Amino acid sequence: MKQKVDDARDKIVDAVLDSEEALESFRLTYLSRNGLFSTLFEEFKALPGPEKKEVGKPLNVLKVQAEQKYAEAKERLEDAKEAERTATDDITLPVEPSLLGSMHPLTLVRHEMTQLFMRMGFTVADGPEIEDDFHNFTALNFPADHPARDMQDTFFVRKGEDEDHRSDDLVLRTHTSPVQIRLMKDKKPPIRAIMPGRVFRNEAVTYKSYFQFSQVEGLVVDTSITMADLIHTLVTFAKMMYGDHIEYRVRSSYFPFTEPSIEMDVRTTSDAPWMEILGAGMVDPNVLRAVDVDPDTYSGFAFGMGIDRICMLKYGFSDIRTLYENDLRMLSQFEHIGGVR
Amino acid sequence: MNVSLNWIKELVGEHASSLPDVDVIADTLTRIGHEVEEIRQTSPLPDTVIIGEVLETEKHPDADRLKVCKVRISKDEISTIICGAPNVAAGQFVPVATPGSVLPIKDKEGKPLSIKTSKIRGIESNGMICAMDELALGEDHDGIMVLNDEVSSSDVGRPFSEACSIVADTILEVSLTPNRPDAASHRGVARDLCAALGLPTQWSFPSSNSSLPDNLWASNNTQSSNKGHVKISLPDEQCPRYVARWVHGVTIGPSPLHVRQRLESLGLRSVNNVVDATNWVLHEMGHPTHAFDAGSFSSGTLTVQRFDKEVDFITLDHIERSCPAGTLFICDGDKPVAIAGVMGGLDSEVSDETTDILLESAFFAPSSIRKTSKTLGLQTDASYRYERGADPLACLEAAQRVVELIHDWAGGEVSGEIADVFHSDGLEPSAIPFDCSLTTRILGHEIESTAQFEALKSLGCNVDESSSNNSSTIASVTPPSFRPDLSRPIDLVEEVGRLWDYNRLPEPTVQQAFVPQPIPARESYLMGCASACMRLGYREIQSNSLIPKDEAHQAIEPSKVIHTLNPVSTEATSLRPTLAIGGLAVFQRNRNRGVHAARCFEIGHVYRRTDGQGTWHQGIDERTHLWMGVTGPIHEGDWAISEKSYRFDHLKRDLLSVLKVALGSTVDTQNITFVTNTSNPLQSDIQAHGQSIGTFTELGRKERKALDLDSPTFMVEVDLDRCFDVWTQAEPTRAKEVSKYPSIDYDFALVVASDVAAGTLEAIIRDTGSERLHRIQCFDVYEGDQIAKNTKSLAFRCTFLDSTKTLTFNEVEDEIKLILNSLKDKASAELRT
Repeated sequence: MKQKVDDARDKIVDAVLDSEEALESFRLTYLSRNGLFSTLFEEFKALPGPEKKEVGKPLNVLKVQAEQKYAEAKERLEDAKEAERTATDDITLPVEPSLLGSMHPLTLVRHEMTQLFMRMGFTVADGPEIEDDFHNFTALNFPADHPARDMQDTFFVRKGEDEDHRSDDLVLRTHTSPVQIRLMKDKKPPIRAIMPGRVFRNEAVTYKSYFQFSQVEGLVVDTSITMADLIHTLVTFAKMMYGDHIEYRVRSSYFPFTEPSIEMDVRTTSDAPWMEILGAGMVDPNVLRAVDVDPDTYSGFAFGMGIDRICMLKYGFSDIRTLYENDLRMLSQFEHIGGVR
Repeated sequence: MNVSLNWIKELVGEHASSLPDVDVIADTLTRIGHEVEEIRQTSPLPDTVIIGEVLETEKHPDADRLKVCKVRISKDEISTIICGAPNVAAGQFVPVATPGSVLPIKDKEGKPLSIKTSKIRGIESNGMICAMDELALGEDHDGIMVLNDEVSSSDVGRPFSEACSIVADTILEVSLTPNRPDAASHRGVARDLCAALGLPTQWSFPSSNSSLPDNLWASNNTQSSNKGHVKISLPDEQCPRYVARWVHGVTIGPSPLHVRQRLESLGLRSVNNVVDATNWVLHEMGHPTHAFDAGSFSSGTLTVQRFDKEVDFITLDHIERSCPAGTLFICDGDKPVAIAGVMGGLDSEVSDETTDILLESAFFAPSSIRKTSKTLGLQTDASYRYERGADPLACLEAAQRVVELIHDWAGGEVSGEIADVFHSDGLEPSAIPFDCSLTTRILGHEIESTAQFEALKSLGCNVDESSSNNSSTIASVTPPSFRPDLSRPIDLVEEVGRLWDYNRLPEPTVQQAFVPQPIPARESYLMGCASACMRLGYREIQSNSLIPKDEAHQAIEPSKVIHTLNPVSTEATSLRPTLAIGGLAVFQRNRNRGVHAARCFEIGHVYRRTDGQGTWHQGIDERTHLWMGVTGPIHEGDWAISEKSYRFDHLKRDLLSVLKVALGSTVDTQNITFVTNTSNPLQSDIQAHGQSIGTFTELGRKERKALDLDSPTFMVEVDLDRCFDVWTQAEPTRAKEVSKYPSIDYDFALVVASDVAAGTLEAIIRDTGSERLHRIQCFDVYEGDQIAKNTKSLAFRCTFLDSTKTLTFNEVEDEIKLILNSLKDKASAELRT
């Protein structure tokens, strides 16, 4: 028996476990259910007492030794296997990034502007894109047959296809100002809201004009609202939108729905050309009267700016048509922006 | 409008030297509402362009069209110059560009034309005799300029620009606002400029060299008069004033050079000395006048009238125009000679043979001129001013000024007779009661009342402070007749404000207190829906609201499509009834640019006619939709992704996720069902709790071919207005306790007839299962040889969960038995073994 253990020890020590096959063969020979150790332990049970004493310890030591050798070899082989990479384990294989999605640049800018005005306490109001003459023009102090209507080339829409309706045609709103009228009809002052949305002008399509574009307008009506408040609000917005360092100037202008009317230009450096960014003014008393707000008690200001134009400035678009072309290679560039913040 | 700085200076007169430089002038005009969009210099002529005298000409021996000219270019210097102009002749005084001159026009290479001594067919030419266009003084290239009317032999050798008073000018391009017809003239611009700069103003004209006789013979109340040469009959309220004057024996010819130069520099075409005089006054003082060839009149009665039928009329631009009934005409008797306030007729046009001039200086009702101009699609310098409001009180002055200029430039004898028929009712400006405190209330800053009154006076207002009762802030302000835009106190506030300069308004010391109002839920709702799409890797597009008519007609019942009455192009005639049209157009455009893979969404308005109430306007349904579409390979050319192109389920999965956001917590995914359209198996109605909220569409082969799309293409369009209504009913989100106990899965495979919808089976399982049935998944679908023909196999996994205990397999098995029985009863579903 002792001889058998000694022989086994020699073989176990000499065994070279450098492959899966050698390892498996070692396990089957020594450690499996029908392996050598099982046999030896069976034999050991049958030994007489003194001999048991002599063989027991070396046999146990040898078994532990074999198990250790097996475990170490197995670990070594698995390490080697793991280090060995197949063709599809190659990290340098090119892959497409996961689909990330993106917002349209016009949405990004609209959202940014909306957020800035919300910080200034404005709420958001909404209305239809197909409007009637009252909301789009008359209530806004555009008299019928007045050249002011030429300022906004208008798309007309028939209210009904039957003859009865032809007298009161509708328009595609030329600005989001009709939402101001709806708001003032619905709610008494104080009012402090912006109206973002799509508007339409019947203009030839060129690199700088398109028959549809987006606007953000704003309206504030309360007791003692002044031009100074208006300019302060606009400057605060412009600085948040374009940077604290911008220069601005205010100049007189004309809109039927405001009196006095102004426009604002900004520039980033004192040698840069002025860029017109918005039109604004004090709400004309005729507009307030049209919605039953007493101009002797209340005053208000309104402003409006084109989102497309601001978007073009911000992202460097040189042709407005690009914004409505929706070339996915163009839009994919806006993935980098974390959507809406 | 183009504004000549020289002209402005002439009008400002003695104070012109106090004017700042042009940049400050431009900034000032811009600030007070006359935005200067561009400043350009007229090209100065070099002093090397001089006056020469052609002494003799002879044909070039080697060129039929060229002449060899001997030209005296100084007292005792004679040059040989080759000239190709047909009109060159001995005895002419001409502009000569001597060698070394650089002219303000471009040569063939686009560089300024440089004149050199050169041999032309063997003969040396020492310079160039110039035509008008070569000196940038006009477009005329028919021949050289002949200056015999402008210069004499003592001028030979002098610089041309000096001898002919050709001065370099600065042209300001001003953008006019429609409320300021008075500013559509140099006088108007000069007036505002002086007021803004605090310069005193006086408005007499500089060139008047003679005081012409005046003999006013038509008083304000006379409807007609037959004194003088014609009788003027004025029955029409659309012409409250008509002034006529006569000049006899004029000689029609070109205007003086400096006149032509100025008109050209403003972008106007010089016509002849009479027409130029009317244009000159139009741009000088803003009042339109018209010169008729009086010799073409025959009836003896000039009438202003309308006809109750359409009139065909040839205007002086040689175009025959159909003027609708009601168009206001100036007539010789009953024969129209001019479309009132818009354009004269060809027959009465001043021509080279004209000797007698009838000059009209009138005032027409703005709305009448606007209507005519609009219907004829004809806007002229005259109609532009009339429709915005000319000055009814300026008619006489304008007539006087024009006949003066005609007399100066075309000779003749000015008749002392003036016809003036004037119904002045309502045309004289009325006084405005003005309290200066309104300015403080509107601007937010107090401007002293004396400063306010001074500003108004500088603009020509009459300020009467005597009407106020011991208050220094109240006055009665009468605006000048040339300012139709001033009728209310608020209008005066604007005048004070724009002259005072809004940029000087101090920042408000007290911020207006405001209570922020809640943001409407809809705003964040729509942004949330867009974000949900983006979270799933969709790209937002913004397509056109206006689409081609035929595409709209294909999409829905044509009578429901809304068209614009005045489309901008055939590509944009109709309002989109669905977002799909624009979305698919984007797919096609990108496909044609080589981008095959697309995964897009859009949120926008769609518009249809409805027999019902409509959303905002009777009969018009305007709703907010969400469109999502996928086409092409999911990941183009990726080695690891086995699914090359989209299947319906990709979009369905994404839609269900988006609907979690769009419908809110009241609608579980399990309550969203898809009902296939019986007439079109590629289209399904999307329903939430049985209510239709949108459409799921797979594009058919033919549709895809028409759009050049070669991959399977799927899209959904959801009515977000309906979804929003559902969403608003949702409870606010609360964190619910989740079960701490493990769930149990139970798998089984069913065999059913091929035409049994999976959704039917799912619904049966759901309806039969208890509250503990937490989730139903379909993990395998099989059709093929291993089961009977016309059957299919669906393998379901039911997950059971109890929040109070760990379920045992037996409890679940009981429930499964019920489910399987139910499936057998209702759908003849057999357990697959």
